[in-house]
Amino acid sequence: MTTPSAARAEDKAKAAAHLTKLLLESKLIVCVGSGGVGKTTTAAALAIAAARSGKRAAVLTIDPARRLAQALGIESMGNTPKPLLATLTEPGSVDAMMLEAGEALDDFVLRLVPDQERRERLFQNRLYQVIARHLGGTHEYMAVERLHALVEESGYDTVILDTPPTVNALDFLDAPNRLAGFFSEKITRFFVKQAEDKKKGFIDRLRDRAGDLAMSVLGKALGEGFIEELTDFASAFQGLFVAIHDRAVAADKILRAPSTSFLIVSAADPVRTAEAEQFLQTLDRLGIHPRGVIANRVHEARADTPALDVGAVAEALGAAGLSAEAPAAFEAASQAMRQLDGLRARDARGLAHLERLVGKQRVMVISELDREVQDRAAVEHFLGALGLRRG
Amino acid sequence: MNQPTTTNARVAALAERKARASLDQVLTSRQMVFVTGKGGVGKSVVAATLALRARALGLRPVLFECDSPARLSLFPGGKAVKDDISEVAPGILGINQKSDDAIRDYAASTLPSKTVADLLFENRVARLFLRASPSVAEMALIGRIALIAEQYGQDGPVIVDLHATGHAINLLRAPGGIMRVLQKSKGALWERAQAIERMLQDKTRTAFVTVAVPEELPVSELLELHDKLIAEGAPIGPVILNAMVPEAAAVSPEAVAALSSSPQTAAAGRDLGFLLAQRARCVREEARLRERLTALHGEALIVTLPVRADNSDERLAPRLEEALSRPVIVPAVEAA
Repeated sequence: MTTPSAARAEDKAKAAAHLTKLLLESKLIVCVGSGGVGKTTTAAALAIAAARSGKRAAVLTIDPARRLAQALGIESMGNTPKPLLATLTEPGSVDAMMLEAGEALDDFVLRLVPDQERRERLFQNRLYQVIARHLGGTHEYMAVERLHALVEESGYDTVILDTPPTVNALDFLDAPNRLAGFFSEKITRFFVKQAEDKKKGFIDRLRDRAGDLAMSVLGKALGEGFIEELTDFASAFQGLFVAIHDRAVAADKILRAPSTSFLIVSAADPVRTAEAEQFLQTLDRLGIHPRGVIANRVHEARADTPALDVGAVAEALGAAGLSAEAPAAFEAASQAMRQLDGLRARDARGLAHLERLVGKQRVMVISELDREVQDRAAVEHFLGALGLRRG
Repeated sequence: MNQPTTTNARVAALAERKARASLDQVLTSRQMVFVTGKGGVGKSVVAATLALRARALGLRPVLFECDSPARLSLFPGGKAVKDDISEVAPGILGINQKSDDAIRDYAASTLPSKTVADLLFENRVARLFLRASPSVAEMALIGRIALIAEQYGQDGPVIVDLHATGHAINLLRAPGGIMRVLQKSKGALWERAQAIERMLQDKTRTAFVTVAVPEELPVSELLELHDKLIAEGAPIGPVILNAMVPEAAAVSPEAVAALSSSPQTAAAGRDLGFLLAQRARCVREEARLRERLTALHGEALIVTLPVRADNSDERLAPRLEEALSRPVIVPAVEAA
């Protein structure tokens, strides 16, 4: 008969084997999850794990904060790939990069619009400037584009993607569809009455249906010149829109490819596991089925929990010549045990919840460390759970 | 030996008292209170705690959630926050604004003609275009918040539970972005955007309450956020430092080591060492936050909230509010 702790060790080995297999078989791994659960550390560790298994890996964050650089112990990171130290990644390699939306959109236009004059006109257009630099949303659009280029064109074996917390991450998954919608030919036609097209443009149709009064109402609300300006923008860059649309459709395919794996990163407390469940449901609606869950910073149940004995404390401290501290130490240690037992019980419930959601062997448990560690040490701790620890 | 300890505790207690008074002042006087911080620091629970505190101060707050997941009420015996404004606990109103609906709701309340609004939204392409256009969604959301603040802000603050830090900045920039796009013609929407931008920067009407937990990344991200908020001209309220591990009994590191090395007490020694390390981390991060905030603003207003083991409990927000309402005991200066 197996003991409970032996059974647990076996479950852990199976979960580690499952994750290792995913890591070796996937071209793209997308880490999703809510904030504060160690998603970025996990993404960094997975990239290094792939490299230590011989892969040429890349890790990409679409988070504007500097977290990934911190987790990898490198000073700064930008749009261009930055290789990690070979000693960390041998025999493979890891390139790390981050997106800066404005820059990325300009890069993208540089590649797609070879004609300099047309390009300059686009850079000068106020709508373009607003879209590229001043407003939210472009991060997701550009991340999808970069992802497409990385997976399809850069020759990496494995790409690990770190996504922003909950709501933004879902925006990201939906971005290709929205992007395709935004830049579709249909939408340019909508604003532009083309010479060869007998169909009426948006403005004319609106006028037909609602009359001039409605038009003047809309004009007052948006400002008289706005619709014209929008029309101008749309017609000037029609060709570009089609190109962006096609890339977005291709990127959406990548997210749904069999060689792409989604992992949910969570902690084990009930708020996080409830959020993980929400994630699963939302992904399910998008037709995406995550292949595993990583439960981070888990206060794992102890094999044996003997009640603290006042005599044993006195003995232990007496042996160290610290008898005077025994009463205070007993008090403090008893309290610490009670508090942590509370956390262990809580995390046990949370883990059971995660295991019900995806199955026991798909939940990789990473234990909470009993000391505070720097990001690099947290990455090694994770690698240790996969049997790939170094140093 | 005791003298400096007492003095430090006194300084800390006085600072806490001042920060809480400032928080009460913000809740009492502002119409819009935005709660923001890194993901996972407990923004939603803090927002609910602030709503309870505002109620205790005799106000009638509105808890404004953005795309909140379906969850149990954060108030004991309370009702779930709905898509329309409704009472979610006695004396507390709540609304959960879905971003998909925000554009439509906002257009309906802004466009002077219902026909035009309906026409815009019954057209699939127009709907898609509005949804996909950057800034439109943010503008609609901030427009909805401002509208509710204008309707209800006289009775108590609209407490907005924002997403992670980037969301706050995107919202702040949305009116300016809309104004840039519409600047040639300056129609009604441009005027409305300008009014909202002014409201967001008005320190008699708005405050940003930033939340962190005492860990390195959340504190660093909060400080980065403060830089950005200052650049956007946003009024910054007190900082909430959530999940502080309380001070433990004074046990020497040697005693912890002695416990850990004896088989009968090793488990207890590990647990104690773990908690002491956590406490040390809290002390260190609070000191760092205090120092940097003082450099940034001339003073550091930090309200601390204690860590709770079971953070899923509907009693969590009331417990935190209770902690917030408990008088701060300022130790007397010891006689020489």
